[in-house]
Amino acid sequence: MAAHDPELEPGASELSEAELSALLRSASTGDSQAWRQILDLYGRRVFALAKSRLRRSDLAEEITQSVFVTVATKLRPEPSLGGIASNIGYTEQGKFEAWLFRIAVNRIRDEVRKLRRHATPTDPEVLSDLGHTDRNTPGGKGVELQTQLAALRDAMERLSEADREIIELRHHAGMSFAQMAQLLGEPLGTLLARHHRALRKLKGALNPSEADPESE
Amino acid sequence: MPLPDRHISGPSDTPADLRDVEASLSRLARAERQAAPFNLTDRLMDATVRSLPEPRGGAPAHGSDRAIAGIIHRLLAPRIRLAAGLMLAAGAALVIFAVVRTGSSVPAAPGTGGQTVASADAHDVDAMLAAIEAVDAIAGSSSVDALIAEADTLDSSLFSDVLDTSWNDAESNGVSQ
Repeated sequence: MAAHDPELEPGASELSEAELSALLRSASTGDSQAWRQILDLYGRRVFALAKSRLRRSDLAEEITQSVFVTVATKLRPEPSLGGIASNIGYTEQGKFEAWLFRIAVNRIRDEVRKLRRHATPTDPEVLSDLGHTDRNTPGGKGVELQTQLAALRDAMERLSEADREIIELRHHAGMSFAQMAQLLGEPLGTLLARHHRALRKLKGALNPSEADPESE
Repeated sequence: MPLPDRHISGPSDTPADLRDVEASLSRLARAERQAAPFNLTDRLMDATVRSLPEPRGGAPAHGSDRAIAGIIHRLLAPRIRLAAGLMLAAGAALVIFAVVRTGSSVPAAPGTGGQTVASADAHDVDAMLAAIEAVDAIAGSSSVDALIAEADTLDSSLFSDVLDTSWNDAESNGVSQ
């Protein structure tokens, strides 16, 4: 079945592997327009992944910038060795998204560890950012949606790190299971099963009365 | 069941009782993406474009920067070389002037020959002769030799007692005092 989610970044699912490779090749030779297209395709997905975990827009943007600085640096071609030029960093042809989000995940994990060491009270933005969501939704329906999303965020906080990461990579970063398998180094079947269990735990956290005893 | 290739594969992959959770997650993810600044791409571009590799073969990215740098280089390089040359020449001239000006007070460097030492010695001898002539004039003597003879006479009268050895001769002949 064709892979397409209308709620995902529109361009992300329309770009073929060949087109992505061509963009990366152009960016690696310093083509700023190609680089802009890559930022346009992946910037918000990396941001959403960071924002979901850190709950702060400023930190999420900082991490997104840091991730793309790393990516841009790694696209630098290595000086010619015996007449054969190769890349220093990005050598995983055809696995760009897995590589990109591995950098992002590592950077986010570092930031989470740092925040835990210097634990601070919940940022006011965390409490108020639901107001940003669907603020155009009229009347009570918008409020209801905000309440649902707040409950979902709270439920995700109660998941284990591993379960939460799988859900965020799948939904916030918009990765395919194949890409997630490459990123996490797990067989596809294992990953599908883990995602299924994580969803069930999330549902249990949202509706404790309907919790599935198998998932506990 | 076919496995999804890219991105969300659709509700058929998810059990019916979990589809509402997935739908909520999609809404949450969209909300998080919308929380990004509207000009996120521009801001990322500003922050990252300088980390990109240099374009090959003088491609246009940052071309204006490089052109300006080239013009500045072409304009300034001859002037910088000229200024450096002038400074070297001025420094050498200063050193030569200092050597000539200070003369005897500058000791000769080892291995440079005795020319400077010789000129210093000649200068010193001249100064000493001038000093002797001045002393001669003050003492009123016609010559230095006469002055030395006067000093000898004075010397003899002052130390005549000391030079008298007659008491020693008497003792040695058995005369006690």
